[in-house]
Amino acid sequence: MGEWAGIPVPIEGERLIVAPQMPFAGLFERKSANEIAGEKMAEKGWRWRNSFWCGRWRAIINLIERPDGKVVGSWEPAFHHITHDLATMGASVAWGLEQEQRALQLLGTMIRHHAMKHYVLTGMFLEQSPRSGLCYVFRRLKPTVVLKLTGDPDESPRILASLCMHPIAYYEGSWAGAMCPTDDVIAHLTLMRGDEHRYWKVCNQHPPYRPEAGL
Amino acid sequence: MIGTLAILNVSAGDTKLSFDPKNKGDLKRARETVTDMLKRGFCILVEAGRDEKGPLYRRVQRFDPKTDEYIIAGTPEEKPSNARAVPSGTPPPETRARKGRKGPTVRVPAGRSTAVAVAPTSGG
Repeated sequence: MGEWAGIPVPIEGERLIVAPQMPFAGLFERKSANEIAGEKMAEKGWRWRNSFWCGRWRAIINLIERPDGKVVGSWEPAFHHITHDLATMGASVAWGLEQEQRALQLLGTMIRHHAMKHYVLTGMFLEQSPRSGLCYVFRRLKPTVVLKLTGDPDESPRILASLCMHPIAYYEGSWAGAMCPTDDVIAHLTLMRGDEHRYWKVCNQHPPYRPEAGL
Repeated sequence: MIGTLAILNVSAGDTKLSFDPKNKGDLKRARETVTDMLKRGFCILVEAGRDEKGPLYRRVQRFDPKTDEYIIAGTPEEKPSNARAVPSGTPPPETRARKGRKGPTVRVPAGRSTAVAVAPTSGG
């Protein structure tokens, strides 16, 4: 039996996060940059205590214990997502134009003409779920945005979450999956249409104010 | 119409399997692949009708290789146009019904439907 969905392409300098169910997941295991930094700190007697998001400062706060036992804090500003954008562009070496073309052809059979036109021209299209009534904005190389429509045309829709999911694998710190961008969009679309509950369950739900949400 | 299954794939965009009854080799390969994919946690979404927006997909719970049918959860009101309803409690002999999964199931012939297979997800 073969690997039905193929084997992801490793890229030098990028960490590939593979779905643990895949039999080859162990081959791609590598320490993350944070883990390596943590080990270097530990050698010098420093210890990482905690990290959390601060909405007021729009930053990730890290609490680190010094060798003398005192806990100090540091903050990583997270105002924009340019690092994600650049990492995504870097990961594009793993995809081919032919794959993307085939994925576009498949997507063309799944959505209406005007939605496909939106997708080709703007990289995103809208679809409302008949079950939940939620409106999904499927985007190429960005998480899917879920909007709750209020019914009032004067009121702007509420953003519920940004759903991020990649079949097989993705490159850490980017929005790039192992598959070509439109294949990821097809996976999002089919899961939303086929099993919306499972779709929410398997996705990483980024709050709209975080840079990872891509908003 | 010959039923096809598009497997979203890293290297090829998507690879297609066909349930062509005239081609025994392809049919055997498709049966084995679908059975193996469901075991490995792939999510297979079968087209179970259409509306003005496009195809309506349903997640496949099991596959019966003897009759080449996808088995999906059904509701009394909602029945796919290309499906036949089966009374609850009659799973195919080679598969066991999961605990807590009661209710009617619907069988969709693989030879007359299109489906998409999505590999297990790694989050994002």
